[in-house]
Amino acid sequence: MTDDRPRLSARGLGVRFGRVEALADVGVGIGAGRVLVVLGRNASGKSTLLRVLAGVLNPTGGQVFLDGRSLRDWSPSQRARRLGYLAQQPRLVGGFTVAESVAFGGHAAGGVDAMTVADALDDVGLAALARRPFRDLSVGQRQRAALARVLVQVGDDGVMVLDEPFAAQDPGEVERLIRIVRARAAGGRAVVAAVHDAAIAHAIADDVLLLDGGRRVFLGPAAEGLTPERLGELFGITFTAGPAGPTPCFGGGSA
Amino acid sequence: MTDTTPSPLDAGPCVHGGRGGIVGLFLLASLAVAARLLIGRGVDGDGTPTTVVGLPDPLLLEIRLSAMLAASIAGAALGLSGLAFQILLRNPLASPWVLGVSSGAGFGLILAMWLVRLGGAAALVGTALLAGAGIPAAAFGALLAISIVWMLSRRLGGFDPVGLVLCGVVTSATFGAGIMLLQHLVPNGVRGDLVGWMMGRIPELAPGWLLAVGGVAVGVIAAAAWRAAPMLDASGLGDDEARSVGVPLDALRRWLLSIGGGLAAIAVVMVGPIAFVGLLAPHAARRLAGAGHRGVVLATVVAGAGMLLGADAIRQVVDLGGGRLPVGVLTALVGGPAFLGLLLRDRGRA
Repeated sequence: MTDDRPRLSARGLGVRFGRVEALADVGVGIGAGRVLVVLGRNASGKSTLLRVLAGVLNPTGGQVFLDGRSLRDWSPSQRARRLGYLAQQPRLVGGFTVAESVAFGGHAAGGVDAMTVADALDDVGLAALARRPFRDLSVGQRQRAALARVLVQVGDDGVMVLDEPFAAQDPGEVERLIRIVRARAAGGRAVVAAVHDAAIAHAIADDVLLLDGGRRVFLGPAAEGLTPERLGELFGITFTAGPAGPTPCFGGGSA
Repeated sequence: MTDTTPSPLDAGPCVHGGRGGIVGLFLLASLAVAARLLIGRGVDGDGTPTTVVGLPDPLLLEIRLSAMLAASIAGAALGLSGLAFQILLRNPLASPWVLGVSSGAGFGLILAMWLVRLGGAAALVGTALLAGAGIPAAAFGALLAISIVWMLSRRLGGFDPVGLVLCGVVTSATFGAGIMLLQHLVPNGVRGDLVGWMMGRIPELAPGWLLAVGGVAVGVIAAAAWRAAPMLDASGLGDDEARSVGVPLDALRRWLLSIGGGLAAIAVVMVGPIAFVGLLAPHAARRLAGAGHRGVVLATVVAGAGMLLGADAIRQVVDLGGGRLPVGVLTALVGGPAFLGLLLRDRGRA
């Protein structure tokens, strides 16, 4: 399902932290049913952009629009029911269980039923740990629990903003998450995900946004953005074309 | 990074405490109420002081009822204030005094004593502040401390936990130094009162209006916190995640700072800077009621009131100073080791 009108869009986004310019004049749009992957080096502004798009950080310049309406005009709970955010390092104070942490996704909706929580935990492969304390989970498990929370939060027509959901996962879990993201996009959600791995980007992206030093260097279809030339230029190493998309050549080797 | 996924058989117990915990807490608190009302001091046939158990005559009962109410209200206020600061600062070791409310109140008292000593118009102001066992002076100092922390942390760019703690530590230390300075300018006899006040004691006949104000404040705030419990739960997520699920984090933090500071001010005015009750009551509550704030708020009120009442009842029995031992000495003696145990347990877990 594809819609030309963007669910989430931004114009001229700028963010300054004191004298550091983290983001400068970035524009972007994500339509329903599509997955936008944000790629860039460390400290290129990926997380900052995602925080702004998710409405949890106010930009110092520009605006974000959710369904055509400025994010500032949505009340926190209206926004929360349409727009979910997965942090790079999910945290939770207190002795709450994994299932309770997922149920927090229903906070804005005034609660969520146990079946929805159980389904989401099942999707991310954490059903067996539902009654464990969240604080006992590993980093990768915490990210998956937080993803389950986002799934519960935004419903079937929501927008999901995911900051590095694959970074701490083993290959089996990466495959599981890729299937979740693709399936949810096919069901009509819009997804923005920051990703480091070119192969994962190749597997999930409809569109890509390449960031360098807080500036947009490319925005367009994945086939045009994920080329060895563009990625080589972005990351400063050699990429070769492979069956799973551009592949980095580490250790100075060439394919 | 690989996950070590435990077997489904090892799903473990639910981390929630039950209603049983809260009921038990209620029973213990009721026991403390009974003890405080029925245990008193008297003299036996040959005039030596002794402990008397039983319903006293009406006049004495009125005094004990007043003390019982003061201890319950102040204990509940301390517990709720500690809970507010522990949520606000995302730190389980925060107490009502972490932002300088107690040193502010102490400073207000010694300042009033100093003004009296100055004479003239200053003495009139000082005397007014010291009216009614120094309630206006302590309230003035406590509110001054909260206002300073509020303004400083807003200047620092919001009410984030680290900025608040920094402002609180600095405010507390500055008022502490102010107390030391003024103590040198105030005569010895008057200073003795301040040392006793600094330990914390339950007044035998607190003014009715103060009990009413404190009781209503504790009741209204506890009810509001109970209603806001789902939001308090979700605010335990990381800042960005909490905002994302719809928690108005900045408004919540302003609210927590106001009620935490306000309740600490009420408590310090009523009973002085009693140690450890505000720190330990929320912990006892979490152990017995589980993680959810619906239960924790209720259990904190009961635990705070019960702890201070229990300490005051014990003080009646083991009293060493002929009725003069400040109850704060007891809460500190018991609370200190309990606090250490808490630290060691958390270390063991991490």
